[in-house]
Amino acid sequence: MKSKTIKSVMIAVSLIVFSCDEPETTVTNIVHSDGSVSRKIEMKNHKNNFKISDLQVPFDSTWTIKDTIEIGEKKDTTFIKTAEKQFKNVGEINKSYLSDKGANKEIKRKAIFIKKFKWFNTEYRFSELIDKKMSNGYPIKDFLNQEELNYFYSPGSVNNEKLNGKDSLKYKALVDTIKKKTDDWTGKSLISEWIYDFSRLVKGTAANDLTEASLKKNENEFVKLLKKYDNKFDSLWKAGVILKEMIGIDNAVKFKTEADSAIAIVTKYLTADFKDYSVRIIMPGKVIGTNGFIDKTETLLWPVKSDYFFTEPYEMWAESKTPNKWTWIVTGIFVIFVITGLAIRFLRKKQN
Amino acid sequence: MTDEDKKYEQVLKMLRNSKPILTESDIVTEKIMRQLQEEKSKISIPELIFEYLFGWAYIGWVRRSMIAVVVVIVVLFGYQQALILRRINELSGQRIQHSSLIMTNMQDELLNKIQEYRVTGWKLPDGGKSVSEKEINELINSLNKLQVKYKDLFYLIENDPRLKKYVETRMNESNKTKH
Repeated sequence: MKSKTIKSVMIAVSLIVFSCDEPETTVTNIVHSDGSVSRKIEMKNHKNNFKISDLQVPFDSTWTIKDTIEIGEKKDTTFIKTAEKQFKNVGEINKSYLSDKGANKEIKRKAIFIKKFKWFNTEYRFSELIDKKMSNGYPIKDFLNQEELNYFYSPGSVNNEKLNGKDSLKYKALVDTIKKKTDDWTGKSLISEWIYDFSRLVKGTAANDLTEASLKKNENEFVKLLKKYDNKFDSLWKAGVILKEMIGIDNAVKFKTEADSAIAIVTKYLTADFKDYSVRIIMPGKVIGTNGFIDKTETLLWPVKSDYFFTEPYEMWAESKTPNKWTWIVTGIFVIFVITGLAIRFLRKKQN
Repeated sequence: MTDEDKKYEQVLKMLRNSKPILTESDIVTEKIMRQLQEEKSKISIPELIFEYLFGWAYIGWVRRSMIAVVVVIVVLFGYQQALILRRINELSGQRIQHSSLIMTNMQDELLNKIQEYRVTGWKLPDGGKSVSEKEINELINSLNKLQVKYKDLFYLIENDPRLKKYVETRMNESNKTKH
């Protein structure tokens, strides 16, 4: 539930995130046709601070690690750490995720590789999947239109360029709309999650008006209450005022503990630690499909932000193909063979 | 019945009663077989190969099956290519004009690696480098020596007009051969 408590927690979390010295991180996966992956992590920080607990993506001493320093135009120093490793398959990457002790260890991540032989071409699909945080939220696409979704999922640098470009006013208005809509999305998703958790906790002890289905009917009313008491939510919730309006005086008194437990679960989803980073994928052959962004080097890019997997799994996927030269040759020979046979028969028939 | 008819009947009767007697049937059989084989061997080898390769074209069901397979292959090829082209066209909306997610100091190194990977299917070495530090030092030393020798060589050429002319002539000839 998006209470003041939750809001203050969010502000605190964001302050911690920005005040922390976590590096700006980019992970590059160079996918090979045999399913092996060359993985490279690039970390950039203004302090020589690369503590494992601050890092977004796991690596260990088995990686080839290189440290460099970059001096900027203003004589500012940037420390850069790169870690490289050749993984035999995605299973090894997934193992490294399981043993992650870094900043994003609470988030379930996995890599998937699929190879399909399609006669003329072999197709490859590589993806990095981040599991959703909340199981009962709403998908963001129910709240944003296509243009807003494009902006929402775009890398920060791309959005900054739009905001400082010739259509800056249009994009500033778009940002405001997205913010308003994402607030609605967060609120409704949190209410939905609270309903699920609360109904589960009171199951068997409460009357029929506190089942998940009956509470769901009032979901929009609960969202309105959330907006109505936005500024005083924390104190009013503690006083039981909001809960009384939501489920009635008798139920509010009887199930105050369960309601508080449910709100604690919901708050946990908001406070789950996550530090943003970027993922880059380089596929074998020609890229034929992706949900990422393609830069001038034909490299695929994805920003990874906690909002992206708040209510839905976030899959960064790419598909590519390589032509199977031998099948092209075999097919060509076969087609020529059949055409020649038919032509010979036709000519002989004509001669006779 | 006229006399002529009677004579004709008599001749026929005589011919019927005097059938030829085949005394050496084996020799006759052999001769016939040899003649047949000779006829067969008159067909040239290319013709035989052609018959062997394209004999199927004269068998109705095989011919029809082959045509069907070719049609299926052509349709499959067209479908696959159209699908791929459509998907590649759809990607145009996802292209961005800059690559600011790539860290500036890493950009050149990465670009080289990507190019190398795309061309050769290059892989990152599994830990460590395949060239030792000693080998790298040797390479640098050799390069330095080579540069010094080249300097001396250029100095010699520049100071000797005959040598300079000779080198220029040879270089022109060499360039002409290349073109």
